[in-house]
Amino acid sequence: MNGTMLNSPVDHFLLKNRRVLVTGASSGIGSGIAILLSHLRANVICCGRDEARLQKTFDCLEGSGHAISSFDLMNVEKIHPWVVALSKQQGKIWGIVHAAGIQHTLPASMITPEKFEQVIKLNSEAAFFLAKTMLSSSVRDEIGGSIVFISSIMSIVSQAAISSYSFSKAALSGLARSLAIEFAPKKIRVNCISPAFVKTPLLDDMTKKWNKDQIDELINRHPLGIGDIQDVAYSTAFLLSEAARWITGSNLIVDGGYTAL
Amino acid sequence: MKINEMIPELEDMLGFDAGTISVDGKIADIPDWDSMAILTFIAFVEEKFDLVLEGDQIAGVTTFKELFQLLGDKVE
Repeated sequence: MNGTMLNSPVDHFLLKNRRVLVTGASSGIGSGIAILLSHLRANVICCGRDEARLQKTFDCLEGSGHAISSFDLMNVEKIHPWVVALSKQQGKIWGIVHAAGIQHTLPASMITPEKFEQVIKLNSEAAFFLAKTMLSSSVRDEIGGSIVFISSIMSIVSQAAISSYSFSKAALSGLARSLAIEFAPKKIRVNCISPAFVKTPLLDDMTKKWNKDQIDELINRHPLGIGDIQDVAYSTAFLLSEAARWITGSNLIVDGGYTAL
Repeated sequence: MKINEMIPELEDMLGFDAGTISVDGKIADIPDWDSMAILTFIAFVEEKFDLVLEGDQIAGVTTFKELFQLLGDKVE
């Protein structure tokens, strides 16, 4: 267990002085997570491709000690030197949240090898190579760490025309389980969160191709309604925090009852 | 692009036999024209013409002529 002195049970839910790298922080779930973590007193490094949009997230962060880093995670071979450089500039990294992701709503007949690889590279491969950086003593905080991959319930259940997305997200839970075992001696926990549909630009993009009946059906699939970004952010903060210190290799389903139906 | 050149490509993408789709045909006459076919058509149009159609635009369409009119001047 972590040896840091914590004064009260509430402290276990806070992320004081924890430096957390959040990918996909320029919009949607990643942005919401970055903002919440800052309120919980983490030092957040916001990563995304678009610096202007990252700045918008950065402007919403609470407190100080945060940073922005513009990087394209499709360059998986450059992830390691990028994170090493970040830790030199900002200090050791305690946590990683991989929220960056893409999704193509495409029937199988329309999926080319290039499109398939694009989804796998960002959603799955980048997650692995980000996590791998925590093996480097020049990157990881000596007290341990916590990694959260934002997966999807489409890794457990699915629907037509999102095969590459389902595949890429299902990979994350397997990845988290194996890395959880491998990283446990270094006191680094690795978990997944699998949200159902959440109000994000990605969902807007997907549903604009649907008709009204399909959208109504989607809403009715969630007994608690479509989720908010904060619903995913709260769960992510919990898994990152010391309150979840005995949880690793898990896949937390955050779905408003979607999979209970 | 000419409609007569596009139709065989679309049929192939949909897994339909050649000649299944005709400009004057009714969509309801093709049993395999289902929600997946609509998604495939939307993806086909987006890739081919960089044109994003919305589900509701297609919902009220009953003939292929009306469907292809949604493509505007992208087809002739």
